[in-house]
Amino acid sequence: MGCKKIKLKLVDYYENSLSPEERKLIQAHLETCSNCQKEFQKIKSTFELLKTESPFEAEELYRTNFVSGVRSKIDKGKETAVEIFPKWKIAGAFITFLFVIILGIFLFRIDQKVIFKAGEETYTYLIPTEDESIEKFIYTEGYDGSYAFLFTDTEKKKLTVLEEELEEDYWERAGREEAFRELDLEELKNLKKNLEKIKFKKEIL
Amino acid sequence: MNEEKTQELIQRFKQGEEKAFNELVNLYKKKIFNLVLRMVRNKEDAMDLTQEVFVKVYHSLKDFRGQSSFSTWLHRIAVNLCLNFTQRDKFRSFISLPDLVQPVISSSSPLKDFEKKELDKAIDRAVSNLPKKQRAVFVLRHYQELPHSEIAKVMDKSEGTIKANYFQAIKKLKKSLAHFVE
Repeated sequence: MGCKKIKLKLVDYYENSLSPEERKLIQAHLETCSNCQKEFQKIKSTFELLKTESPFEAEELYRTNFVSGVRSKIDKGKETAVEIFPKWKIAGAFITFLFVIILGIFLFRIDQKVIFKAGEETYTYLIPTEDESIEKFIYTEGYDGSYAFLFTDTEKKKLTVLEEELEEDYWERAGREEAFRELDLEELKNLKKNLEKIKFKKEIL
Repeated sequence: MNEEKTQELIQRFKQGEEKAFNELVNLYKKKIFNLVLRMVRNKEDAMDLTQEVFVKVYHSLKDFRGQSSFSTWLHRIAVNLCLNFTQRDKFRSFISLPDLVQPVISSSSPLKDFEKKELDKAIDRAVSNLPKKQRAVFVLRHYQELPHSEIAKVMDKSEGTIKANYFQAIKKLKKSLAHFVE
């Protein structure tokens, strides 16, 4: 196992959540590799630092009558439901909800789209069809179309960057599609920036 | 948490004993308040949201079939409410948690107290800057001390996704706190 793979497992090593075989492997590597040793020390120190954080007393929970607060919210909710939502309104809302769900399923089937939100912006991620590899088609965009990545089979470099950004092993554990949805706006922006650098290099050449 | 006691209270509530719900709230309020506070970083919001969690529990408890443990189910409600809340109010003005809630610092030296408070602030800032899903995973693992498998159930994700988010969170915290570590 190379340093790159070892580094991805150091958090698990610290937390003692690796199999005995993997643990032995990492231990043996750490004894001979000063670079990974340093990295492990940093992780260990970060965890130790985090443990020094002062605990907080939840005094508010005891100063106020918390249960009464919950109870009054429950009662208030009951009253509001009766006042604001008479039965015909609930029925109307239910029918609208059903219509939206059916429409959503219909659209989803046509485009095989997964729409997810990252911060303020909505991204559309097109799932490749079964005979297409994910390398062939990864595409996201903001509502203004400003975040769009399109991969083709010839753009292996972009895929490599994507994988590196997604921390290969770890994100692959989650599955690429899942990993992609886990990214937040900042991470997507960084990803886009790195991908654009490649495009820029290509144009110069 | 005492699982037997919890089950007993749930049964009593399902049989119509309202008082059992109050006991259930008292049993879990501190744990849930701490979780919510670490997620939203605002005392008033945390208090309000923690109450919301229990209101939701009250309305859904009769349908709770016990496919997951009560604690998992409760954590799921709390995390989902926090994630929706942080999405809505994500860019609130930043006030560090140590400024809002009095931390328990026991030291005789004012200088050490000051340094400790600064460190607490730095940790709070670093945790607050994590993307919300990574923050949720970190809070559940570090403060609530849940295993990855349990967090996966709470967040309805695979264990791999949870480990990935946790790894990313630690990586970012290591970077943000590098100044204190080196």
